[in-house]
Amino acid sequence: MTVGQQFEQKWQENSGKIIRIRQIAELPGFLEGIVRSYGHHGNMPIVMAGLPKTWSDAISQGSAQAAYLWAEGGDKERFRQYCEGSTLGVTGCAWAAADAGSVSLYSDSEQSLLPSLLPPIHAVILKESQIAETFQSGLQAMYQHAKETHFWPSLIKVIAGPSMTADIEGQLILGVHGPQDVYAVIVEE
Amino acid sequence: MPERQRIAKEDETVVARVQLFVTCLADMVRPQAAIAAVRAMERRGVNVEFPSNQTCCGQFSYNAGYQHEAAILARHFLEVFETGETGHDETEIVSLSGSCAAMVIHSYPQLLFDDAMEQGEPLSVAEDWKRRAQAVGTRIREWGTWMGKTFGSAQEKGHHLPVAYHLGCHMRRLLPPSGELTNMLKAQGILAREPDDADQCCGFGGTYSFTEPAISTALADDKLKNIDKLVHDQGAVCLTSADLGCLLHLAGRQRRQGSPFPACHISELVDLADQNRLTPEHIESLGDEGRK
Amino acid sequence: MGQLPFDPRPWPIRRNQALQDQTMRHTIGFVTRRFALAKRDVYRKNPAIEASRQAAVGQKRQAIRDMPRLLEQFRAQVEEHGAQTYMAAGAHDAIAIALRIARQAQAKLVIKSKSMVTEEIELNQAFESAGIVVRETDLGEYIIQLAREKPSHILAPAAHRNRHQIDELFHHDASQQGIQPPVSDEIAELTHYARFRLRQEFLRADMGVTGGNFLVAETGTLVLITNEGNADMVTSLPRVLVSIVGVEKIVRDWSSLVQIIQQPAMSGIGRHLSSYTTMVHGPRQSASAEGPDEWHVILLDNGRKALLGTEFEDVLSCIRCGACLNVCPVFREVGGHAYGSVYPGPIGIVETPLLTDLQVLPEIPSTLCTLCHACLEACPMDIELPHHIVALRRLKAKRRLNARRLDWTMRTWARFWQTPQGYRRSVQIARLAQRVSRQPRILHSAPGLFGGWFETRDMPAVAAETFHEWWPKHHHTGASEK
Repeated sequence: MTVGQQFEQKWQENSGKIIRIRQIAELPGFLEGIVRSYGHHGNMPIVMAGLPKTWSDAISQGSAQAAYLWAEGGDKERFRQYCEGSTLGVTGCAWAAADAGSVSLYSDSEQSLLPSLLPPIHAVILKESQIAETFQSGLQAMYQHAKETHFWPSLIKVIAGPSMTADIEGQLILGVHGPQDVYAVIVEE
Repeated sequence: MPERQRIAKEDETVVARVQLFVTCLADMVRPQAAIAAVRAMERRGVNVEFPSNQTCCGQFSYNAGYQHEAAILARHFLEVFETGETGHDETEIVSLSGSCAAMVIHSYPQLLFDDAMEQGEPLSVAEDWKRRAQAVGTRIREWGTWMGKTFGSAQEKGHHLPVAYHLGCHMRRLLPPSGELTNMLKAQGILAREPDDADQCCGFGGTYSFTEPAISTALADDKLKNIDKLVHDQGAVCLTSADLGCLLHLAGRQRRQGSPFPACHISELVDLADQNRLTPEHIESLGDEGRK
Repeated sequence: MGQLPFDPRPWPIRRNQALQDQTMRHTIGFVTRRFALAKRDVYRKNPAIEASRQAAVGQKRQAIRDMPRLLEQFRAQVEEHGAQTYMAAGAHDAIAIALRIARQAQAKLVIKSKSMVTEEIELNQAFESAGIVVRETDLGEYIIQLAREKPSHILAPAAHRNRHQIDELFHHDASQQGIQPPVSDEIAELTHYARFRLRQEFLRADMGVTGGNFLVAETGTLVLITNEGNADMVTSLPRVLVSIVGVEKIVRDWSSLVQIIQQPAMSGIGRHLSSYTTMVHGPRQSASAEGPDEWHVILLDNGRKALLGTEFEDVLSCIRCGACLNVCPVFREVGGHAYGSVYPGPIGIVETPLLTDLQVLPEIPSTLCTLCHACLEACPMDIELPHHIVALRRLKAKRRLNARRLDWTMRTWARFWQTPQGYRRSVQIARLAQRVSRQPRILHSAPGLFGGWFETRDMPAVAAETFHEWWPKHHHTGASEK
């Protein structure tokens, strides 16, 4: 099993959903489908962060909804309001781990955690080359990088599935505070 | 020379020599279990020695936090099993309770060391007690596991009588795996079935059973519910265990509720099987023997 | 010595109330067994975990021994990242510090993610008395906050309540808030209500409070683990963040963190990771969209450091995974409230009296453990729980905290049984008692401490012929009697 397949399997075990696309042009269509399947008919914006410009442009241009991207120097209050009013948050990630089925996001000038937190759906877009074999090796690499660059992001968030709880009668429910649906969109290289 | 040793020698069938630790509970309230164990061993050519000064391992006091009281009994235990006929060699001690064996192995060394220090003995004395406890600890075995290991499980009987088997917590978690015991039972035609939730405590817990009867009993009821299921689903004919404490607790609860169900030590089943009397009727009458 | 809150009702009342609560017992039994099974599965399917676990145990033990130095290193690191740190010796100190921060920040609404330490110091009550609204945001914690109860399980605080009871609580809350109540008592609808209700407060809150799962000394990192994502709300949204963490949460370096970070999820719920693992290094960097402007870290001692260098030191390695609760037969019967402490289960009956030098709930090591050793088997940190429970019972006996009757019984018992003559005499006395009480074969009652047995169970009488008496007849030489 490739690292990508292993990630896929574990991510799904964690109640996450998987989409594989060959080229970025396919992305807006998939995202539209996701938003529609959630049953939102109003004009809810898509919020984005931590994406390469070509990707975010593709989403902005290809979607019927308005799309807002977090970018360096952005107004954080306004971006937070967009996130609060959004159905779908789309982000990149710093790295993923196959054995845990997890993705890791750093809060910095390019990446915001809010699109992964406030909207009911979060889609994280990653390339297979970003997937570490194990969560432990990914953490080690992250540490090496931080040491070399002398920089630790103030917030790091590892996501391994949708927001969930079993606090009432032990029954598993998705989407307590964070997203109830998390999609990993793997861009094949 | 004691007569029984002479007899055994004439037979030339002595396969092992053991010291029997009968435990206080078996001695006083279920002597049939100990008698059955002796018969089963002697039938197989085991030379059984019973150091008759033995009393109790002291686990009741130890678990309740009475270290000095437990140490008094532990020291007595060591003296008894070090000075039997064979106490100074490597003779194995077979215990009719897994829990008591675990007590000797795991708790004695530190208990005796700590108590000696607390009583103001010199360090060398405390260390000596610890060493003696460790030496005895290497010799003690739970009876059924020892039987399984010594006699294997080769001669399988054709038929299998299902019984509900309760593996006590200390045997399960503090002694070496006891698969040989259940294999030995199987070879005797006894199919030991563990109830659902088998690894949950039955609630006996030594002193706990009378200091906290409500919780102890709630746990017994959980266990008995799962044992009942074995009776109904798999036709288990009795409850058995290598630990009499658990057995008395569970059987005592059933009797109080007006639904007594045969319960006996594994040794009693092996003894019956040896005599080709392993039937539900004979098992049911086990409790009546030895108390006329 | 630490200060811990406790339920002042006597033990028998707490116990009986628990045993009578069938709803609670059913839910707790279900939840604990499922967690325990999931834990066993994840270890079985991933044998490589075991090496990490063992490494984590060794490193955590060492970190505890080096605690004072590592705490200083942690403080220096996070302060360099722009945070402020505080050492709180006891519960009152931690409260005073947190209140001072809240007042300076003019906080009116505080949102909290799940934290056992804030239960330990009773932060909510203190803030509310100071006129500051505190909102628990973990679903289970929110439910018990509405019910004004304590958690019944470390991981599932509201495990003792069923959906109907929770629906009632939410309806009451909705009418007070003037908002739509849950559509039905379906669990999904109840959860949806909580999401909607708490979201408004997440967005309005001035201050957030978290606990912490790990503190990394080398890098100055606080790690928070949740499944709901509420800790992410708390660390991302309010302008002031206060993290209150027990000093024992320290690990030495990043590689120690790597070994231990998956243990809470693996051992607690049987997953490789919980849904959210959040690492905080400092307040918001200017270009970030989220994170607090101020971050305050309060390190709480409250009786922990007093355990350093004692036989109980390994207790400080606890990672609050809940594995010992999930396998404990007694916990499964009575749930968390019977313990009377914020820390229930095997770890609770050890930690509660230890942190308070046996001043708080000294009865619980005796009343809530059968010494079955399941907790030791389950504990990923190899904490010697049964050993400590016996040791605490020993301390109690030594300090004369037990009933006189128990002292007397144990002393007399040992006095009789230390010699074979005494043992024989005890058999004769028992037989005499059985004759006098006309119970020849089956006992239905007995005097003194043993009476407890007969409240619910029978027992065979002492045999007409004990094994000791049988043996010489069987082996008629009686040779072994020396």
